[in-house]
Amino acid sequence: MVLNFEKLELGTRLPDVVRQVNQDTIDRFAVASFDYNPIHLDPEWKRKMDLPGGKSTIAHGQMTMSFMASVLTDWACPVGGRVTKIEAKYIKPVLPGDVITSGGTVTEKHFHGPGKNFVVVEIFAQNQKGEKVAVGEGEVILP
Amino acid sequence: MKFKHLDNWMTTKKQKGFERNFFLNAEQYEIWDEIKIGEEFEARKKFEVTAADIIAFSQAVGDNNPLFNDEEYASKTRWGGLIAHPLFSTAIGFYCTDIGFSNWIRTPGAFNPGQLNIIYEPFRVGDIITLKLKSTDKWIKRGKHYLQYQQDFIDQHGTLKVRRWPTLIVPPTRAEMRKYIAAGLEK
Repeated sequence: MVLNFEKLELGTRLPDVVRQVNQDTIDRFAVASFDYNPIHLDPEWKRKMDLPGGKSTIAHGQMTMSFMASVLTDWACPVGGRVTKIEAKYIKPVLPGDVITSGGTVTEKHFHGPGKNFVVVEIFAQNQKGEKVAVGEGEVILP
Repeated sequence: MKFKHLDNWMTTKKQKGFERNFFLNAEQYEIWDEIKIGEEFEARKKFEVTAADIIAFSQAVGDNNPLFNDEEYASKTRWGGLIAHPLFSTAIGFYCTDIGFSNWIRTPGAFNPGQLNIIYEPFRVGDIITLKLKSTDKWIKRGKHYLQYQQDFIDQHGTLKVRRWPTLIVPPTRAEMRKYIAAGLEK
């Protein structure tokens, strides 16, 4: 069925996005985002510091949030939808070796007229142990 | 050069020319206990968006959506060309952040517990973005020091494209921040 605001039902589950995280993917995100914080990149420095993730480097929160955003864009962009808001709280650090599954569920429909109707999607990211690493919310305008 | 191995991932001019030592000039940074809420700044550095920038970001997050990657495909959509991934403002925010005031996001020892992004319009090739920042709140909770601020991303026509509110947990004082720098210098 073609995605359409009028016909969309609350509770609709969006397809998951799965991403493998390792130090290479973290390094690549650092380059793309210009975020060279050693908390992400320098295992030797990180071991000395009392920061989240224990002795390991941790992935950028913005990378996790990007995975969550991709849940929304993979779903909405092919039908001409667009993401207008995204919010996330990071609950648990993402470590090299984690496999992150992100997903979402439609929880609200807002009726503002053609071209402005939007839905609220509760979004999450969890690791391979089923532990939530981030939760949040997105808004998507749908045709 | 610090993190030389990262050269392997560099595909754009901006990436190749960017200073990757996070601690450089950190003594000039403004620290949590010095920040006055409501301070406003405009970054001196602009970000001119290229197709290579947009594609590099989406590839770094494993997103193959053709709107973010395929110029020919995107040119035939309602957008008429590439648009950026919704979190592309992250790259602009770090790229434009100055050394000195409003550099909060680069504070040694800082980490990110979450944020809110409002996307009024997607970034497009040819946009020349100015970054404006304003400190909006700072607080202590369970022994941690939080800072929240607003970032406005405005194009060359004066259009506000993205507004976001990052939150940071940061060292509260300059002395605390120096511990993070010292650990880096011992290498």
